[in-house]
Amino acid sequence: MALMPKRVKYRKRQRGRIKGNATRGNTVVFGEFGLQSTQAGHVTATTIEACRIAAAQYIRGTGAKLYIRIFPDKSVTARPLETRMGKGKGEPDHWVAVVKPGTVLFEIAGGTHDAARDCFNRVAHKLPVRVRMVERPAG
Amino acid sequence: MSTIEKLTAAVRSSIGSTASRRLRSEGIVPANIYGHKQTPQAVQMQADIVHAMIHSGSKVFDLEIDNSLEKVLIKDIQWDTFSKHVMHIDFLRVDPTERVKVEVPVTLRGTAPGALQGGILEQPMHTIEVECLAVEIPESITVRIGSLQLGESLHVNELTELPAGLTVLSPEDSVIVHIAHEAPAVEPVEEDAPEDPADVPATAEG
Repeated sequence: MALMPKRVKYRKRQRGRIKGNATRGNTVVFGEFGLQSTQAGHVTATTIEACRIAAAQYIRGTGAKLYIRIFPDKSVTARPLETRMGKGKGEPDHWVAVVKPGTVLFEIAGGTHDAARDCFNRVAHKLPVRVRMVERPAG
Repeated sequence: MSTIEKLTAAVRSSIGSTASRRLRSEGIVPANIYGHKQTPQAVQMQADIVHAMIHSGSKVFDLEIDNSLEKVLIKDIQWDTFSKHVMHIDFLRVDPTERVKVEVPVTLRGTAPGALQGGILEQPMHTIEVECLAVEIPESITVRIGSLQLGESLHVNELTELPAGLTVLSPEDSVIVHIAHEAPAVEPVEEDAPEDPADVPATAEG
């Protein structure tokens, strides 16, 4: 099941603009390798789930662990099909995570550098933003 | 073990974010030196010297500033969003005979049998806080995991290969490495979680 909040203060959000780089969540914290965004964008809950499945299938049995560093906490509304304009804002359709350049999306703990690179390569193909692989800084 | 290298820095007269941004565009890294109850000193260093200093593995340096020599420890390094450029460095004045508190990285050695049996190697602790002489800061603390079975953990108080004169300050019962059982392939579905994106309740009217 895709990620979504259990409860929110307001169900419908304004779209907003994504400005600047990530100042938080931009370093590898839990694992040794991370997948860092170099673009801004919205990553939907479905996309995160697809990435999780792709990565989990690859690292199964290797002793590595996957960490998901983003959470889709922003609702996106949509109008029902074949509906005339007006009648107010549509109902929440899906949930997205707001990603800024520099945000670390996923992390892998354990395993080799090559295995992590191959795993992230599969994940990167599913993402709507350009990404790069980063490593935990020594020390 | 840290080796002491000699580096050159210049006194920085331009202070503030705008001046610092201009310096960075010229390939200069702003820095500060403080400690020992002396007046903090704003300095600047060439970016290539800074990168060489960071990658040398040492933590204590002799910093030459206007013909005066200061022995300093790298206290903090600020990187940009993509961890490519150094934005600022904090140096702490130290004495060679002074004991300092530092975070030392943990290096795992060996292959855990538990990981080979299908377990997942989890490392909640990547650095350990230690107290030691400023000139004896180790580059890393080696942790041997060759005997770690499935479900077993290695705690701070089980560290054996510690250098002499080094005191560990991290809590003794903290887990450094753990071999966890692999999670089941099918994840349990939470019953109270909403299925439809439109079903998420709001706590306020809006």
